[in-house]
Amino acid sequence: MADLHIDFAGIKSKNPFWLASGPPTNTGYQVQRAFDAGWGGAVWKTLGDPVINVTSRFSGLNYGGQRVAGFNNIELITDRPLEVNLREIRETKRAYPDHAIIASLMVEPKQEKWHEIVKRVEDVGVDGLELNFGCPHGMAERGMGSASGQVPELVEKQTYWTKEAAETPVIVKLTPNITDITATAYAAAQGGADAISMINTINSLMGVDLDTWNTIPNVAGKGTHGGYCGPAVKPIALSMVAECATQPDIPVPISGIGGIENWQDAAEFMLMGASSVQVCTAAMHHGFRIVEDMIDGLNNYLDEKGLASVSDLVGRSVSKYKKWGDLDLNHKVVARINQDYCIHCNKCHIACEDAAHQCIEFYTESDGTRALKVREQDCVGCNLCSIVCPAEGAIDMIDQPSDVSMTWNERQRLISTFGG
Amino acid sequence: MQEHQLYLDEKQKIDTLLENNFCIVGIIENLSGTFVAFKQAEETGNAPQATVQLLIPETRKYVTNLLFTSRLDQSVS
Repeated sequence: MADLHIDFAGIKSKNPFWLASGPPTNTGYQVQRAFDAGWGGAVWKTLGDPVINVTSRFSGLNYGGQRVAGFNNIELITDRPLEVNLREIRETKRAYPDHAIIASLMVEPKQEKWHEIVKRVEDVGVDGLELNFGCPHGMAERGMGSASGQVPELVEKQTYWTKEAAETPVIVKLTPNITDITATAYAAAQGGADAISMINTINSLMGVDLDTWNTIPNVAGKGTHGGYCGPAVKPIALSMVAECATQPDIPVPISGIGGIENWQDAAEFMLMGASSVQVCTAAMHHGFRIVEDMIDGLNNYLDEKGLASVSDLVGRSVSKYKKWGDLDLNHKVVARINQDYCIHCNKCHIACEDAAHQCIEFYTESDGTRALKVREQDCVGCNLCSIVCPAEGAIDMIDQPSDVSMTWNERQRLISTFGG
Repeated sequence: MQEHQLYLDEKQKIDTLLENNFCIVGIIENLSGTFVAFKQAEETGNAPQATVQLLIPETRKYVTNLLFTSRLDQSVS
């Protein structure tokens, strides 16, 4: 059994699986249930001046056969007084001293506001703080959440104010609703952040009801934009983690968030540089006990890879993440159809004809049956045929070895010496 | 026409010039593709020149691969 313990910027946890700040961490009852299920830590639902929420609040995007491929919410931060939350945090920490409790915080961008809440929250024994600079809805209209998080100067300044008062590690949670997340990640590091976490939710409108013409969700016939999360956002989150993990001037640990719903997702974020992961939507969809499979799965995977500790996994793929210009132009793969598995649906042919390079063609076998074959010399290895193919194993992408590697950047440097 | 055949046609033009003692003296890339300027190597003064326009990505890669490999060989030797 591998060691799943982590030390994330000084926050110790018996495994890297934390509940992200959100509806599942609204109360002590919920967080204690989560800890009983096996979660190593929880980021308490964002504390601040208590709000009044609306109904309804959530909507799910079902795609094909999958429910909740994406999830949207217009719920704001805690609607409970700070004292109530602090009492429950204290009780929970006393009952579960080996579990990490991180308080998510959101207040107006004023120094005294950050100082006050930091002191009050740390008094009840939290293990760390997470600054919510990410929620794109509601609170942003009041100058908080992503409205703060989209301005690097405000991120740096508020992180600095927090650090002035904080004795526990400070994590800055970043918004993806920005062109370049490394700008705000850098600002957080400059402000003294001990760690960063990403991503918060993505600005979204889930849909419009074609019968009523109401937005989805709607509040008495009116709607607003919300925060999008769930499996659909994982590639966006993973890319942002990679962007930050590859920047030497962002030298802080990363907590990965965004569409993680099983151990494989978690391992991908860790390989790309996250040393803890946070989960919300999957816990809302499937319940706290999903963590059992996450723990078992990650443990088995580490054993299979011969890794003694989860920390040995962190960042192993970071060096493989490059700028496009540093990719090898001479690397070539081509599609090959395995006739033993092909079900002759012709989807690959249609996709290649309509949307790719017209290199999958019909031919007639010796027994008179028609089949499809890739004209490999015209195949650009785009993968589209294998992506749309419904028959597992029917299309393989075959590596075509090349002797010399040449990247776009190398090519352009070469051409520049020839007057190009 | 299949793109591979177009590649072979463009590659043939390049290979023919190189076989006839032309060498690459300039490369310009613009919206119309890559223009490769050749000059016959051993001539002086009014040496024969030629320019080939390359339209196909594989050929544009091929011609720079020739130069790239040549540079690599020189750096090794």
